[in-house]
Amino acid sequence: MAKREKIEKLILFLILLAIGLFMVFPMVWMMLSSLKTTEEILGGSLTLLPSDPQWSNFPKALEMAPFLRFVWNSFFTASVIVIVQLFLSSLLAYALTQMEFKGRNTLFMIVLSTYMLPAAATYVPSYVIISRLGLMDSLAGIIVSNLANVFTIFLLRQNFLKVPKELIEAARADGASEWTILWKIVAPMSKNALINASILSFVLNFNNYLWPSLITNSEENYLISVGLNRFFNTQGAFEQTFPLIMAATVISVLPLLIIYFVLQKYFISAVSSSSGLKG
Amino acid sequence: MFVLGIIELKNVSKSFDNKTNVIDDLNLTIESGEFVVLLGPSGSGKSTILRMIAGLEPITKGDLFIKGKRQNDVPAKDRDIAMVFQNYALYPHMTVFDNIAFGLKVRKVNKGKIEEKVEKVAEMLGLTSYLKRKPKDLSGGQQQRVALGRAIVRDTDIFLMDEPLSNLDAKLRTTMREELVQLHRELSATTIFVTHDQTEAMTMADKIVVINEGKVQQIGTPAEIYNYPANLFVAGFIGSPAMNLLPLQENRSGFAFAGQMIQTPGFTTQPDGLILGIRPEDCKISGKGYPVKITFIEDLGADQYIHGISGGRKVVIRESPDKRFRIGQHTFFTMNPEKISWFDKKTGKRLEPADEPFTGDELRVYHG
Ligand SMILES: Nc1ncnc2c1ncn2[C@@H]1O[C@H](COP(=O)(O)OP(=O)(O)O)[C@@H](O)[C@H]1O
Ligand SMILES: [Mg+2]
Repeated sequence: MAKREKIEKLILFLILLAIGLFMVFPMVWMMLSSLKTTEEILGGSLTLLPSDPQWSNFPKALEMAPFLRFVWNSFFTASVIVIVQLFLSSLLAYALTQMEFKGRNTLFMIVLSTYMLPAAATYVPSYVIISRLGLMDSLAGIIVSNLANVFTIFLLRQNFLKVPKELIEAARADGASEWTILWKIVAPMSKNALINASILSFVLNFNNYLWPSLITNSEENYLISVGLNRFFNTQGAFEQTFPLIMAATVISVLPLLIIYFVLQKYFISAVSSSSGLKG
Repeated sequence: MFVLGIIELKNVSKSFDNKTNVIDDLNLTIESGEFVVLLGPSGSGKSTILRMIAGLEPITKGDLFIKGKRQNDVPAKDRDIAMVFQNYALYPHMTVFDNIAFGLKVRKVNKGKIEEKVEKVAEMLGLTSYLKRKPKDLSGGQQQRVALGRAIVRDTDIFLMDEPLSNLDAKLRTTMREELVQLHRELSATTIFVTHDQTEAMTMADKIVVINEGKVQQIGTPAEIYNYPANLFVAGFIGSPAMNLLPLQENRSGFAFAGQMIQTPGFTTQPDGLILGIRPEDCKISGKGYPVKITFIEDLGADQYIHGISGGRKVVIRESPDKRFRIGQHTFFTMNPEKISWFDKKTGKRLEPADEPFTGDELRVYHG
């Protein structure tokens, strides 16, 4: 019995290992390719490791376009969005869970219903609003248009609901204002949810492509995803620059990889909280 | 307005659904420094009353005064009342120190002062060596103390406690009972203590307020409530085993129980049917009196309770443990006539004998 179980476990482990390798392979391939020559990548023989690591691919890629600037733009907008979005969503989630007012549930239903809206349907009205605000082709435009996120609100609301009512009342009796209760009681008790929401939102906004590409024109405002795409899709000599594309891509995912390794344990719960809720 | 008590509820009603009143036209005055116990069965509205005083629940109708000021629209955080919750409601992410200090921190008390006060309270409650722990690393009794500490540190003169001992085991509950009374003596803060446990009420209260179905049934000292229950509800609720409540038969010549005529006093109001109330300790097995058939004997060591049937009614009689009785035995019992309470069968209210008129000071009976 025990032996059979062990074998079953081993088989399961091997299957998962295979799937895991299959999933990380493109990433590994990208990293290795960033150190190869064009011939090595596109030549007839498939080799995994670069024979002579081409570290110069990195400075060359950075000369072709201001990728560091793009990475910074992505990092900066994503960070500001995460901070402001979490702040605003916390306020709303607190009101939706801890304060009594008429139409509270209706308000939540309205907020939630916007989740059903396909993103593409919001592009035209958002475009008009951003341009009226005079925020076209600016990082501020990207930030402002991503401040509200239904999923973040939903995730926080579900977690704020878990804070026992008695604790909120104890804090009120202790003399705390709603503001203090939110930041000193409810938020610290929902720390994991806040971190999860930050991670999901950061990754989403760091990798955001379509909408930023619609509202930014000047190079200085490109996010990394937009920058990568513009520079390599529109360049004729695709084959020549292939290792450089890989090098630039590696640079672009580096911030995310660093964050991933630092916050690994939260990543797992973040992804499972999002997939669990989405179905 | 002339205001007597530190806390006054005037014609207070509370409804959650705008149809039925959970609290109905409540009048209550609590004097400064009193230890008042709200006693009643589960669901009678005790917590709701406490929460209205604390400001955690809006008052549907009527007025609440604290120290002479109307409080209906004052938010909880501004009422300067300390409350202890049934499940302690400790902040799980904070240490014991921070839990106790929270109420001072939000009031922007300076740091040195906070430390001084928290340490003093911790010492008083034997929590000094636990200050750095989180609540989850404490026993139930210790958590309970932290909850108390959080209230004491505030230096307020009003404490509200909602069944604070009900989560403790029996032994700890008894110790905490004594400690709370001791604490009240030291701090002399006005305390309103909610419980459904009559032993807690009897042992701790200066004044008991018996509540049932959102209405005050009686207000009095433990002795008054025990000896002069204002109505059938209080008579049946207080005391364990409960008071014997025996409906009397009315005939041409007077009232009778179990075939024996009963001498009744004249009453200030004409009763519509009579119920006689007598506590088990005021009855005695005897060679004469009312016939009883013993059905069950409860031997508690110090006493024995003899359960029996008399006049078709269940009766309980307390006897000293040395006497021997057996189940199925037919015998008689007598009642101490001075200890009999009389109730109107129709209204359930206590009846006062006309020849010894009751002085209002001794017993504050709520006629509502
Ligand atoms: N938030 C609420 N909404 C609706 N009904 C409530 C609420 N709180 C209490 N009640 C009702 O009010 C009555 C009194 O409750 P409560 O004050 O908690 O009683 P107790 O503390 O004496 O057990 C109960 O019938 C209870 O169901
Ligand atoms: Mg209660």
